[in-house]
Amino acid sequence: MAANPKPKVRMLDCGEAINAAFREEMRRDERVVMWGEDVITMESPTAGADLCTRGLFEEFGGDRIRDTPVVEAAIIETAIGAALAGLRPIAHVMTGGFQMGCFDPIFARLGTAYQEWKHPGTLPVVVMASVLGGAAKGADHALSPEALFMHSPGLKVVMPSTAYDTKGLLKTAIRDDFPVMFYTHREVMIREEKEAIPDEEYLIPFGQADVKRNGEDVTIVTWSGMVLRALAAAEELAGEGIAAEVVDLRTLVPMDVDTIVTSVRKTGALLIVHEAMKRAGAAGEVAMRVAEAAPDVVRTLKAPIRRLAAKNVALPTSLRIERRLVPQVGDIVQAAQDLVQESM
Amino acid sequence: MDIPEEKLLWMYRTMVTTRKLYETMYEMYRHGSSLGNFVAGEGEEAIPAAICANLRREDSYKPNFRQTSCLFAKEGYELADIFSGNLFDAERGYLGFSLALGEDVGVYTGFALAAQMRGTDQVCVCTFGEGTASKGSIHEAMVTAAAWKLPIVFVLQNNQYCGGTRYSKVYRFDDLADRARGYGIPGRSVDGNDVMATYAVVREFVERARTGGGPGLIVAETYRLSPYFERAPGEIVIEGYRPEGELEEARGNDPIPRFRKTLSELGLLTDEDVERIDREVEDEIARAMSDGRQRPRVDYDQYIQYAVAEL
Repeated sequence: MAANPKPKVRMLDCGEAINAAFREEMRRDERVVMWGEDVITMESPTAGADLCTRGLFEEFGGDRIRDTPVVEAAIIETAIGAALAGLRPIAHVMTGGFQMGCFDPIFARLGTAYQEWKHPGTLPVVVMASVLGGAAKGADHALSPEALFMHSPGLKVVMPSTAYDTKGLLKTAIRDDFPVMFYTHREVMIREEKEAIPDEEYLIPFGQADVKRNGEDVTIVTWSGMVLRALAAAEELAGEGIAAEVVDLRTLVPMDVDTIVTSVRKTGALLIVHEAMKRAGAAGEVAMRVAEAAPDVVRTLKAPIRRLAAKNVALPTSLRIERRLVPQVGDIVQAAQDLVQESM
Repeated sequence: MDIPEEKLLWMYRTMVTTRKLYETMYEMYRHGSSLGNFVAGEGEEAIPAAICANLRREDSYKPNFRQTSCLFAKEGYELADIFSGNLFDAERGYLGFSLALGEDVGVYTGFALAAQMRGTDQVCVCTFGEGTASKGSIHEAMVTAAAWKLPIVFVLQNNQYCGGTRYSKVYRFDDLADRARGYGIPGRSVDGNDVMATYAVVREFVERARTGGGPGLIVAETYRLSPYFERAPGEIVIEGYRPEGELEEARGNDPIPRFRKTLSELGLLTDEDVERIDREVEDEIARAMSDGRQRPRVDYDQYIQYAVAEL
């Protein structure tokens, strides 16, 4: 019996992976449309990503992809109306910080009102934006707003950390019948190493965390750009004899608590790391979800759960200051070491 | 004006029905059959009647929030729907509204965008008050509709008061239709208590939007005879913002008796017709109330079916 032919892959960066996902889904379903500021002209609706939309206008035309005026609220609101009228819009709002300019349309219309209205049908809207942490871009650009939108009753929140995950999750988001907040991260988008992306179609379901590195001593739960820093920290920790397991949540709503619990059952130590501000940040939700799902695991922890997140201060436009406010690789190493020390 | 006789009579009947609906629903509210805040749009019935007379089933219509019950007049809806507790239906063009005010206008603009992208000849008519017209979302919606020449007609229904604030306190110009110039779209003011004049302007703007001519802004001048909202037991609403005598004077310009007089002068309506229509409408409302309330209600399980992940 002949061996299966090796699946064909292409080496893509995250922007190219997004471009491929858009193209495949727009070819597959003519109801998939998109608009946002400079979506066509700058080719980078998610700011920081190159070539995300290159060639889409040429292929699909102005009835499928449009540049809008600077109207964040209208970008979201028109997406809701168009979705109710039968289209499947992808609404681009550039950055998580800019989403504060359309907070009501996202939180209260998209995420709330269609339930309140007892709308019997679907509401397929993907809201896409980038988190631009790590480059001193200040709060309007660098805000990581996941906790705000996790608190809206009808929103899913997706925050991948690799080109492979981004493509598979984005395709799932576009096919979802209900609203999805989709965040790329600047540090993922600008990675120089390309990833092997199969030519063959694949989708990644929501609510499945991915263990990006195995370890027995401490579980580090994180997502988005912070996964890259956690993996770098795990590498350093390995040099010191500490085996950290890095769990990439990938989607915060829905949240894969089982994978976290399985990991913590093994390591007995849980560190949650995120880029957003600590106060009322998503780490608190992760910790409580673990506590509620597996009280036995919490009772047998070797040390109390820890969280490492940005200090409760506005993000600055100084890299020197940002590096002291937002967790860096060294901070994660230190926090993991402390936790393992406590566990002994 | 070449408005067919049957359309004139339909609009009259619609206005009478709208008024009587308010009265019926207010009674229900007073007796505790419905909760929340009760709002009514007495004195403003001509505008939705003139709009609905120009719309098709597949078109979209958002009445002003205090006139949601006017949806019965939109093709595809019926009176019993008003009592069924759920009007939301994208198929029939009603996409709900925002009680934060204004955010819904962008949603209806999205309906018009979808119509344009799909190449249908659907039109959207989206109404909002002169208070809501100050909200930022309205501006973004109008900028977007103008930029893409979307098939939407914005109807600014100026009933003079937002809450207790008269519009002249916050607008530094008299003709609110002047705003249209800033968006590069046609704008027109009309006496919104004159249903025939309003019908003619709506027809012109809807026709233009339907045939690719883009959006427009109609300012329908009217007067809110109803309070801003009716008080629930135990709540106090201050209605002392109207100058003395103003409300009484405005009642003299009530669009329903005004239209009744016009129709009677045109020889289209006798006193007997007026009484007959009143009786018929009352019967229709009573039947609709009984039918509507027998329809299945959205229950808890349906309501929570779209919750993301576990509750």
